[in-house]
Amino acid sequence: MESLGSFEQLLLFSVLRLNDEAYGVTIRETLETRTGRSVSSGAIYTALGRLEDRGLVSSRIGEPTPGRAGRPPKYYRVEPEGARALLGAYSDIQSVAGGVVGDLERLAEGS
Amino acid sequence: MRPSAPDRILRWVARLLVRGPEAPYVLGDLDEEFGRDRAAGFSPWRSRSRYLRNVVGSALVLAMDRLGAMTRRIPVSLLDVKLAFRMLIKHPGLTAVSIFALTLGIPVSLYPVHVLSLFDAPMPFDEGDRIVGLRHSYRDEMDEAPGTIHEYTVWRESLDGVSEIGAARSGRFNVASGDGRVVPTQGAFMSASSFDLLRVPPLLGRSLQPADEIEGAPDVVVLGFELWRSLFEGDPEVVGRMLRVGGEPYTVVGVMPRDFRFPAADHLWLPFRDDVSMWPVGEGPRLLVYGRLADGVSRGRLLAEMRALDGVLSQEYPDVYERLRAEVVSYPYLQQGNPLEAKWILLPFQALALVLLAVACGNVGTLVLARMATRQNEVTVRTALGASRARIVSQVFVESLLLALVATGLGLLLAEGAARAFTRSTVGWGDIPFWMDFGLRRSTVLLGLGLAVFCAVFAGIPPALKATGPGIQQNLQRSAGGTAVRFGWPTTALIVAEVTLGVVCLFAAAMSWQFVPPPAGTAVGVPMDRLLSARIVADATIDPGNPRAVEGDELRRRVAALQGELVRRVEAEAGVRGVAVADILPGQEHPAWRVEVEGVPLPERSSEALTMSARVGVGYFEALGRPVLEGRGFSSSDVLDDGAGASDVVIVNTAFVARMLGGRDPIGQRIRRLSWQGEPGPWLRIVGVVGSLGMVRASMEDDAGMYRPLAPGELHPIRIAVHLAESPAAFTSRLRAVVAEIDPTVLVENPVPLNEAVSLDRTLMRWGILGIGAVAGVALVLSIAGLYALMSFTVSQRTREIGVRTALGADVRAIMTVIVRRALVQLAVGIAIATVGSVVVLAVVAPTAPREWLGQLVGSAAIVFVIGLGACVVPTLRGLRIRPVEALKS
Repeated sequence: MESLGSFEQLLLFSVLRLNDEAYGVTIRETLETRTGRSVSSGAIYTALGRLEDRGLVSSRIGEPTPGRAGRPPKYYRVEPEGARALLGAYSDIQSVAGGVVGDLERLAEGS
Repeated sequence: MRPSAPDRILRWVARLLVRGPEAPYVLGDLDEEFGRDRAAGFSPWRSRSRYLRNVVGSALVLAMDRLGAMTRRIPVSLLDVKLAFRMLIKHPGLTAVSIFALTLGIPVSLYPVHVLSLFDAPMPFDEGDRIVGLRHSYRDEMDEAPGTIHEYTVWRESLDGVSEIGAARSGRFNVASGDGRVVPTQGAFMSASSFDLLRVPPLLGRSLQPADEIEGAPDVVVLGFELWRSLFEGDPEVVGRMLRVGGEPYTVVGVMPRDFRFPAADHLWLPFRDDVSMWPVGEGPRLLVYGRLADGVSRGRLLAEMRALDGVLSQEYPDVYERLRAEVVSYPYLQQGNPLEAKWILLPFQALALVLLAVACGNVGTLVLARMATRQNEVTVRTALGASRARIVSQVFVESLLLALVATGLGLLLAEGAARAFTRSTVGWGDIPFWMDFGLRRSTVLLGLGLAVFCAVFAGIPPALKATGPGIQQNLQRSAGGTAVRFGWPTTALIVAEVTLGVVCLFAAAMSWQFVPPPAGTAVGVPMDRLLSARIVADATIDPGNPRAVEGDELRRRVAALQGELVRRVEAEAGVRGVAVADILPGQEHPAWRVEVEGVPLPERSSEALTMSARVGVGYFEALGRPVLEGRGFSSSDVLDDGAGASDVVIVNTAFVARMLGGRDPIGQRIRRLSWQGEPGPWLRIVGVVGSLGMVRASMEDDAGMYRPLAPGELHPIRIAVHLAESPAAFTSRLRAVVAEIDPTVLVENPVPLNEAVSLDRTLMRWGILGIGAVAGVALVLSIAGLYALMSFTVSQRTREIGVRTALGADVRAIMTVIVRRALVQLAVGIAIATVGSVVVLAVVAPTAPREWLGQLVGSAAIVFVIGLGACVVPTLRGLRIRPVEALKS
């Protein structure tokens, strides 16, 4: 099974969450809102490009809009292989972290 | 409604920076997000700021991604390394020049960053990165506020963000052992908590304890390792022995390990008994306050706690704390001031160093290109056999990388040696802080390796790409077997720039050299190695670096009494021929004043009215063995009783008589000082004439000068020169003992033979000139190497032509002229720019500069021209030695 870095996992979850509306702007907004992390558009497209090379996501070109100076957006969606990789990564975390999240929270409060 | 769009300039910047296959989507996203931000109510500035941040971030990521993709496609093998070695050995001259240029360029580029990194490096203690300085700075200025006992007390009682907190106050003391030896030493009143904070156990005995800080507790001292060795010969039974610090008796309770010199360059530690009740809030002696971050606490969190505390303090003591703002800084900045200031000071040096490195890389690139020009057949054959462009480029890159790595290794060794030499040479100035270790560190080595890769990329890939460019096949066909590599305008501009830099740096070095004084000789009539110079400091807390007017009647009386007693006692010692007292001694750079002679018009050039000046005590000239030649010396009646020193007599030297008086009888003539605005001082009457006594460092003769009487107590610290029959070094301890007998709190600073004191003054200047000289050397070598490479390439390109011309009987000189013309033009243009530019700059900045500098400029230009001419002629002559038959075959 394909392994995923933490940023790639966040990207894939964001793409999933956005369904058919997952492109640079919306993905970036989702990441900022949900994680507080500010990521450049270049980083998003670079990482999604690599995921696409590995067959974990696929892309399609949308219709250009005036707000984009006539440039089309590039939409992404998660492929079955990508879903399996993401599920595997998520399961691994759950498996290792199961039962210790409470301890984690208490430790964080104590510092 | 149409969504808002970014400014045209922003979009232009974005299009410029964001490149790559994903660029259209990124640019579209940028515009859309800008519109969304504006629709959401963000201000135009905030929207622009977010836009630009995204542009920069995206541009960097996309560029790095493309670079990664490129390097993944470049194959490098061990064979490339072997071939690279062979190629470098095959062209030893070019290899040596390239290595030399990079060996100097790389450490010069590393140096400013290295020095700056010393300030942010972790302290050499257990978990040293968690030791921080605590201080306040003024809200409205960049200056730090001095630490006070009040803020130390408040922080010690209130801060949870530090596990330990300490304070210290350094000073210089006379330390006397029981056998009469006295040594001036830097030490600190330091809180006992500091030793726990630093986690350094003592070598012998114990460190200071909180009980030692109680008023009335026994006076104890902890010694540093070096002080223990020098005063007590490393006696293992030193604990319990007595010594005097500033005249007061202390009991030794411990010795710290070697190299422990906290808080800066301190060698003994006394109990910290500063009491907050003794001082109004915000006042008191200046303290250093530092702490160790508690577990899990970051600097940011500690700072937040301190700033919250500031809010409370501002309410209670608004006069003091309202204008202050707490800071948490790396410990060295506690001593050395503002981090931003240090960065700003080093920034221009770093920029200059990187420019030099870029020039070095550019020139190495030129040499690589020249080498490629001679390998065109090899490139052709390899391409024909299927080698990709990337394959050939990668091999050239490996050659450049090998060059750069060798140069980096040599450069780092050179830097390490220079750092050690510099540290040794500064010993005479007093200890440098313990954290200032100029030697190599891992971060510096890593940075050096990074620079090596940068140089290899910059110097290797562009010329390789040029030599294997897409038009190479057509060019090969057109040149009918000759080389297709061309040197364009960038190479020309580079060589012109290097020649210009070489002339300017050589000129700067020549100009600077005249300020380095010659070896101290016999200008004073006695060998300067028979004069022991020293500074006598009556107050232990005063910086003995520069004499200044005594402040306060009490201090003046004390200094006057000290000086009188000191001169009397020292003159009575065996082997002493005299004691001279002055504000500045022979061989050192004297201040210069404009002087007007009564009845004589001022010279046209202000520089001709400049006169060196010194204030000297009664009997000064006799003590130095140079009694007055005419008239009389100073007597006590020349100095007013109240020590104000407002006397109206002056003694001049023979150079003054020759230049300012035209050889007339000076006795009775009147002169006066003029301020730089032309305001006259009081008239002074010449009562005596002496010979030249070395008032100008650069030239011991022809220094027109005048001497005014110095009353005892008028200036402090006192500068003395003891004229001895034997070696001065042997008298040093006796001098300290005599001073200690008079007053044990008085310091004797820097007792050295006068010629060595002059040498110390020259050390920094010498290092600076060495630096300029090194830059001049690098620039010269680069320019000459560039010219040499250009000429070698030109000759190899025109070998057939040379053969044909020679076979047809052409004059050798005519052939040479045709070949070297381009290089000579580059040489001439570079020299002309440097010469004209330097003249213009000098005319604006220093219009009264002596005309001798023009001669130095012309000389520098001539040297560069001759060397450059040699670089042009040598390869040309080599080409002319080829037999016409061989040339036609090539």
